Amino acid sequence: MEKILSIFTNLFGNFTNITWQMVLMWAIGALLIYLAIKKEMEPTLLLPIGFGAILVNLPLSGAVTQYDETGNVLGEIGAIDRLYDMGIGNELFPLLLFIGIGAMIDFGPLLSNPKMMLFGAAAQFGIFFTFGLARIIGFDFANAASAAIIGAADGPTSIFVANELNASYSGAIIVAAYSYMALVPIIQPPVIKALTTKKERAIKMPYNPTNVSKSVRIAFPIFVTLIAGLISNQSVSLVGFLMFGNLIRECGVLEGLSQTAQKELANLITIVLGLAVSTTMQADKFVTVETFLILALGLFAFIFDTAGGVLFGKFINLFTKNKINPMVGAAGISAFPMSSRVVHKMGLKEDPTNHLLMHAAAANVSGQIASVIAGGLILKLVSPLIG
Amino acid sequence: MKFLSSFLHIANKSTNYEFKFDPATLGQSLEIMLQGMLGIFIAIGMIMLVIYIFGLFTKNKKK
Repeated sequence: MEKILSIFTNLFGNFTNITWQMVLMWAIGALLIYLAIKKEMEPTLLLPIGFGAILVNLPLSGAVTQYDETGNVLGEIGAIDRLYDMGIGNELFPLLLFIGIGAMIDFGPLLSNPKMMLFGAAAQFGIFFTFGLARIIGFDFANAASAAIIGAADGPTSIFVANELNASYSGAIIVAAYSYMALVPIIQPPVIKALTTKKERAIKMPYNPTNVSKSVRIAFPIFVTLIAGLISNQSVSLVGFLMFGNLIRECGVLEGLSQTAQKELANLITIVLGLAVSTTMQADKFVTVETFLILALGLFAFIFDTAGGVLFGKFINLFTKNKINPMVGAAGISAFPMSSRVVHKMGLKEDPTNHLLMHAAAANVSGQIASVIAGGLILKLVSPLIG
Repeated sequence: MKFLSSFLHIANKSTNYEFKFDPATLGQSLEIMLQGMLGIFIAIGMIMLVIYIFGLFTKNKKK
C-alpha cells in the first residue's frame, strides 16, 4: 500500500504546486487560442502566445528556467528562455520580422498620394498622450514610455522599445500590443463615430492614382531610412530593416529573396517570436495590478491614436476645398491592413458607393513608418531622463 | 490550501509600482509630447517633400 502511495505521490505530486495564478494564465492562454482560431484575430501570433502562456505556467515547467529561493538556477536553462535570450532580449526577432513586413507592404497607394502620409504622423498622438497619463499615475519614465508605445499598434516596435528601456512589464506590453491590433475592428468604430457626423463619414474621396515610377519605388525606402535615421537615430535599425525588406521587394531583381522574406522568414520568426514572448507571461510576473494598468494604458493609447487621426482629418478640412473623409485619419495607425478595412467598411455603411479603401490603405502604410519613427523618438526623448 | 495561500500572498505582495496622482509630471510630459509630435511631422514632411521632388525629377526625365 505504501509503495502504491509513493508511486502516486511521485506521479501526481506536482499537482500540489498549482496556484490560482497559473490557472488564471491557462484561462488567458485558452482565451487567446480561442480568439485566434474562432475569431481569426491575429492567429499567427495569438495562437503561439496563447499556447506558450499555458506551457510556461505549468508548475515547475521545464520549458522555462526554474530558480531556487536564493535565485540559483535549478537544472537547465528553459528552452523558451533560451529563445527569448536569442531573439527578443537582443531584439533580433522583431528586426528580422520587419524585413518580412517591409517585403509585404506595397507603398504604391501612398506614393501615389503622398499627402496621406500626414495622417500616419497625426495618429501617433495617442503614444505621447498615454505617456503623459502613465507618468501622472506614477509610472517611471521607462515603463510609461513602454506602455505608451503600445499605441504604435506595432508589435515589433513595442518589443524593441520595451527591451531598449528595460521595461518591467514587457509581457503585458507585448500581449497588449498584439491583442489590441487584433481588436482594432472593435476599438476603432465607436471612437470614429463619436468624433464624426454622419455627413462627414459619407464624404466621398475620388481615387485618381498616378503612375508611380520604379525609380520612386526604389528610392523611397532609401530616403525614408536616411531621413528617419537622421531625425530619430535610435529607430534606425527598425526603420532600416523595414525599408530593406521593401527595397528587396521593389528592386525587381531579388524576387526569390522577396518571396522568402514575405513567407518563410516572416513565418519562421512569427512562430518562435510568439513562443518566446510567452516566457514573460509567467504567472508570478504577469498576474499583478500593474499588468491590468498597462493593458488599460494600451487601450487609451489606441483610442487617442484613432482620435488624433480623425481630428487631424477634420482640421485639414478647415483649409481644403476637396474635403477629406476624416475617418481616413483613423487608419493612420500601424495596424495594417485591419485599420484600413475598418474605415472602408464604415464608409460603405454610410454610403454603399463610398470606397475609401485605397486612401485608408495609404494612411495605414504611412502609419507603419510613422510608428517606427515615434518609437525612435520616444527612445531618444526618454532615454536621457532615465537615471 | 496552496491556492488559498498563494492568493493571500499576492494580495499582500508589495510591488515596485506605487499608484500616485502626480500632476507635477504634466509639464515635462507635455514638452516630450510636443517634441515627439513635432519630430514625427518634420520627418514625415521631409519624406513627403523628397518623394515629391524626386517624382517630379523622374517625370521630367521621361519627357
